[in-house]
Amino acid sequence: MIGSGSNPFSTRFVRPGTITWVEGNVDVDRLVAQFEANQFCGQIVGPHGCGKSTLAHEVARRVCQRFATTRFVSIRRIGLGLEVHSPGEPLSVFRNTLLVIDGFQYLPLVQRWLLKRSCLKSDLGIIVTTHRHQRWPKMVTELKPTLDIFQQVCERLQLDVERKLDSRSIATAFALCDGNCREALMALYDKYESKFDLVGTSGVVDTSVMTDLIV
Amino acid sequence: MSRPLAIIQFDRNPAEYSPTDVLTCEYRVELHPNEQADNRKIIALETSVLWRTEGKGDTDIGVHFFERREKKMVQRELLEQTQRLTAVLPTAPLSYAGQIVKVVWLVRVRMFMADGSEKTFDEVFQMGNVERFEPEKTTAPSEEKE
Repeated sequence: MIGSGSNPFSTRFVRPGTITWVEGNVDVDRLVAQFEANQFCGQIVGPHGCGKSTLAHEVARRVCQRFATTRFVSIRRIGLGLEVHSPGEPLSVFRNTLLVIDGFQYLPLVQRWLLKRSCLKSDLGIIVTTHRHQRWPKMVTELKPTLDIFQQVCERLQLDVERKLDSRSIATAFALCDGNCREALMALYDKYESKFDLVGTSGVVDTSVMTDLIV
Repeated sequence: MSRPLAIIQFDRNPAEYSPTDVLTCEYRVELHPNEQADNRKIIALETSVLWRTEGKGDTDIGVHFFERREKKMVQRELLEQTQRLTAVLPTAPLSYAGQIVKVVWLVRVRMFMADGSEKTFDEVFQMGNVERFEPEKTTAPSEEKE
């Protein structure tokens, strides 16, 4: 539940796995069937902020009962190194596990090959998200969110808050960020802060950086 | 929200505390009045005092106080009684409501049901009194006429 002083566009509400998937131009049931046919090995390809991770979580949610455990791994590039984030226990047991790897393209080639081999030769299931095609069985290659889907996501995020951003602000953010939902949600976070002045201070909040968004 | 519910009440109104203060609050669980089967669904109950960050970056969390009750301690008779929680607050971090990041202190009651579901109830309190940072406004230098 979102508290009265919380910004509904904070990371903790908008991170993948927290946002529920909005049915749009992707048939998730078909994806799940495809994933099963490919021995539970699949990739979701798309640019930044198109919803790859959220879709991966949704597919994982629908197939997780077939596995003993589900693990989410997020890989990010930090400078020349990699940051691997995996909530829960250390990643050592792979038997009968569904592994969801976000940012798969950052892994070295050998590790990518080893993971694919493990998936095809054991009871490990893997869903990876990547910006480029990785010679894995495809699940989605043209993931493109629409304004209508983004509006629905924002409506859900603002369900429990009294003060809401209007649809025009949401549409402007979506257009300015060129359809990158993650960037658009970050822009709406700023918009929400500046519009509603959540802390209630008498000081003036500098909104000059977001003047384009202010209606 | 459907029952069971947890109602948390602080000993101060407004709930404002200073570092090293003793935080005292009471909580009680409101069960279904008639549905015995549903009441038995609670298998464990956790109470905690914690802080978390909110904003545009990754969320951090720090648990200052934690208590778990299960088995006999979550029987109907005990659940319906008002329970008291006491914790000495630390010196940091202080509550902060910035534009990019916020530090939020809260008391959390978390119920674990027999069917594997969870219910979480949070009540926010203020820890310390930090004013929000406001960047100084810079004014463009006026053009001097020669």
